[in-house]
Amino acid sequence: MSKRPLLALGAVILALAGVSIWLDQAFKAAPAPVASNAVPATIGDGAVMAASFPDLEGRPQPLGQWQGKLLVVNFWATWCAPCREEMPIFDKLQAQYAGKKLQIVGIAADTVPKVQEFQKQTPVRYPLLADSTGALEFSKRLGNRLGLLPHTVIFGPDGKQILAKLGPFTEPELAAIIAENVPK
Amino acid sequence: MTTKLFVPSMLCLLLAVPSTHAGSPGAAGAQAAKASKAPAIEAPELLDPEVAFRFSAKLLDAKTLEVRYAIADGYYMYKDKFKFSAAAPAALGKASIPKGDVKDDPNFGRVETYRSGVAVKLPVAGLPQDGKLSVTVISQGCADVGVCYPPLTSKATLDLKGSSSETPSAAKPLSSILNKP
Repeated sequence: MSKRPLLALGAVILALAGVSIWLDQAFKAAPAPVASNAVPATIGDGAVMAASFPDLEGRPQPLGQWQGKLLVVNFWATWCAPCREEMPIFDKLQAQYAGKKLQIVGIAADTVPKVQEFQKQTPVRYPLLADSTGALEFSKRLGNRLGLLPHTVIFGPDGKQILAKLGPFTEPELAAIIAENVPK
Repeated sequence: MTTKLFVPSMLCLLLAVPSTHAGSPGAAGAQAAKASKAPAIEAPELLDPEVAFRFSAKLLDAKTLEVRYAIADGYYMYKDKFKFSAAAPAALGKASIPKGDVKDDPNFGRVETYRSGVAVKLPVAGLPQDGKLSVTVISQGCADVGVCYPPLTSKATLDLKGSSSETPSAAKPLSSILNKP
């Protein structure tokens, strides 16, 4: 009889040790913390529309020139495979909306010659702008903390941001967003 | 005009950013409060580049440098994007980079990529008398969810005693890479 309390105590100690080991392992096995890579924009819509990027002839192209349309700004780079895979979707939708109030613009985190070379091989029917340093900085100010590509930001005809996405769109996904938001 | 987000994928984190940003810490939050209102941001959860592509380097001997990247699951690195350099007077020879997974990329043709990890050995010439070597490695990788990280610069100062001080990877100004032909 006198052994029972000892046995019970032993069982409790073993259980606590087990929990301790489990907790230790659980914490060790915990994955590295993942910070959200989408953070609030630190630039106002007015400043976005005032921003300007050079086209492939080196002429500055202010984003504000497309105000009044649904504006899809796609940040990309020639070295980014998912970006290049997504671009035919933009091209197709821009062609579908020819003459309507949709403007897709690609801003490359690349040099002009690299984008010119890309455009020769893979022409797209929407303007491509290029800024090897400014494109990613601007994309980061729009909330893309890590400067990941592709990054797409959609602005309404009033110049206000509607939506942003890191990673490529599927065609039905983007088509639905455009259909819903493009001015009639 | 309505703010609308299409169905996010399983991997996507949907963040509706309130216009007031109540509780947003620091200056960024304060600035954001002045910025655009209520955009929705759809973003996959992704590791910071230093975690996704964990860099380490050591001198195996006075003439051999080893650079390693431990690559997280769901991420990969491109073989042809590695660039290695050492601070003078030391110089690095041709890197022995192992064969990667070969992929026929519709955009880039035949490319080699690494998953899990990669170890690269490089001959070192002109190691100074104090045995210290400062190395810089540029690399580039992507995540399977369909995003790519900008080129990363990783630095380490090494010596033959085995100690090393490694600085976290940092985004390299793209101009310094992309302006090169």
